[in-house]
Formats: sequence, structure tokens, C-alpha cells
Amino acid sequence: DDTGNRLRFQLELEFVQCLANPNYLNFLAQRGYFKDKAFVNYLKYLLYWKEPEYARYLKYPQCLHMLELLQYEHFRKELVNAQCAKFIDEQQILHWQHYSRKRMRLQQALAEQQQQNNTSVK
Amino acid sequence: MAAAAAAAAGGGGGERSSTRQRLLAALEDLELLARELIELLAISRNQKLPQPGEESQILELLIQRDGEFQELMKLAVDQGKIHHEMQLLEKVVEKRDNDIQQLQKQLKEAEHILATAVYQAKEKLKSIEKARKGAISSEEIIKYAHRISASNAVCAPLTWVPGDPRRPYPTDLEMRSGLLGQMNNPSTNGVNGHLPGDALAAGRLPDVLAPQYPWQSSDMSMNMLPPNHSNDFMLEPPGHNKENEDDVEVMSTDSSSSSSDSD
Repeated sequence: DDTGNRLRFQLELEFVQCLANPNYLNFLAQRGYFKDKAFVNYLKYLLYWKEPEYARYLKYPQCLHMLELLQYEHFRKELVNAQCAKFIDEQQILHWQHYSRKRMRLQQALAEQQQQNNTSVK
Repeated sequence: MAAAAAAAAGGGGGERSSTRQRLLAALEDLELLARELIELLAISRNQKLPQPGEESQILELLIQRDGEFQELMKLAVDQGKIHHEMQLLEKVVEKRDNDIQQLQKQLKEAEHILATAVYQAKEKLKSIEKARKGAISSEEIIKYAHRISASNAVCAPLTWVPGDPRRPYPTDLEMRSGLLGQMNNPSTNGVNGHLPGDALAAGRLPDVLAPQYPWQSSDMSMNMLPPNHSNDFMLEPPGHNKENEDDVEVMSTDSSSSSSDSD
């Protein structure tokens, strides 16, 4: 039974993180999974991944945000539209790039400053 | 004579009248008696007295009334002194009353301030308790932060350009390569748009070839069990036993390094 539990843990870990993929959500919505009461209950059950002792295993913690949104029927209904999924995808990618861009800006600013120092020293 | 009788009756009246009234009555009697005496003397000057003893009678009454009057005056003086004392005492009482009211105000203020202080202290204690409950070692947090950042799960790779198949979520390819994907027959769906062919062409397959799939936990050496649930999700789960602490055993904190990409 222990191996069964371990397997279940891994499966649920994988599945909950797949929820971060908006295209996958669109896929599920179009196939009517979100209309299944049992599935909706399963999504509610998966909320346990929010607890710190479980969340530490998530590589994509943003899936928790999607999981929270999925608790709302309105969100589940909207995900049938491809444009909705596309919008979420774009926003996610933009947000994903946020820190890289910030770092590049900081590096640029630092480089400019150093250049200024060099020219002033000369 | 009738007037003298009336004066006698008025003076000896048993009613409880105020000192002032009695004084005024006595004065009136004296006035009355004096007038009669003078009238009598005026008459007796002209003619003989019809009743020889009348003047002495009036005189006696006069003296009596005067005596009463003097006593009443003494009484009035005493009463005046007492009244004065009463006024002084009343003033003292008033002052004490004010003092008490002042103290009452201050007491109420102090109580209010203390109540506020106690309330705020309790709130502070609550937040301290809350913070203590969620305490995590900084080392763990740093390790976790490294894990999710270095693998580009939450932060895009610095060389990312549109066209790069990497995403901030498990891609179609990765999903199919995982445990879930292996369990079921891979169905034909390219909804993610990232078919294996594209990825191969792009020459970037960082995660797929790694023995550890990116979203799987690499530190599965401990028994980390998902909460108990009935396999029938048609029924509303009766308050998920997420707090199934008996199942969760102590985990080792030294997790192995994350599956970082080489890019």
C-alpha cells in the first residue's frame, strides 16, 4: 500500500503541475472534464498542495494559482475558448520574462555607470 | 382690649411657623400694644380712666412681648450662625463632588487606554504566534528558490526568444514523458503545438533526455504521502484530511540538487 501511496503522490504531483499549462486546461475544458462533478471535486481535493509541506515539492508553483482559479465555475467555463487559453499563455510567458528583463536592465545600467566612471577617470 | 386679646392669642400660637414669621408677629404685637398704650395715655390726659388697671395691663403685655421678641432675636442669631456653617459645609461637599467626578473621568480614561494597550498586545501576540507557526529556515527557502529558478521554471532563460520551445509550465512533450503520460496510451493531440518533431528540430531537448523529469521531485527518499481520500470523487469529500500528519513522516532537509538545464 505504501508504494501505492507513493505512486499516487507522484501522479498527483505531476498532474497538479500540468494545470499550469493553459493549453492543457483548454484541452480538458473542450473535452468536458470541467463539467464532471467528480473532476471538480478532485480539483478541490488537490488544494492540499497549497500547504507548505506539500508545496515544497512543486517545481512550477504557479500551478497553484491556476488551481485556485479553477475552483471557480466561471473560469472553468471560459477555458473552453481558445482565445482565453492563448491570453493566459501570453501573460504567463510575459510574466516569466519579467525577472530576466529586470536583470538585463540592471546590468545595462551598471555597465553604463561603469563606462561613465571610466570616461571621467580618463 | 380686643386688639390686646388678639395679640396675646397670636403670640402664644402653637403652629410651627418660621422664626421670621414669629419675629414679624411679635413686632406687630409690640406695635399694636404701643399704639394702644399711647392712645390710652392720650385719652387719660383729657378725661378720667374708666378702668384704672388697663394701662398697667397693657404695659405688662408690652414687657412680655418685648421679652419674647428678645428671645426670638437670640434664636435668630443662632440660626443665622448655623445657616452660615451649613453653607460652608455645602461648599466643601460640592468641592468633594467635583474631585470625585474628576477622578472618575481619569479612571475611565486610564481604563480606556489600558484596554487599547491590552488589545494591541493580544493582537501582537497572535501575529507572533502566526509567524512562529510558519517559520522556515532560510536555507530551505534558498534551496527551494534555487530549484525553481535555475531550472527556468519561474524565470525565463536569459537567452529566450520567441520560438524557443521552453515554457513556464510542463510542455506537452514533458507531460507525455512523465509518469502520467506513460500510464495511459499517448493520444494524438498537438494542442500545445510543441510536438517532439519541433523540439528536435530546434535542437533543444533539455528536459526530456534528463533521467529526472523536471516536475518530479528529486527527493522522494522520504515517505511523502498524499492525503487520504475516498476514490469516489462523486461524493463531496468530508473535509479533506489534509492535516493527516500521521501519514507525513519527517523529511530530510538536504534535498539533492535540482535538475538544472545546461544552457
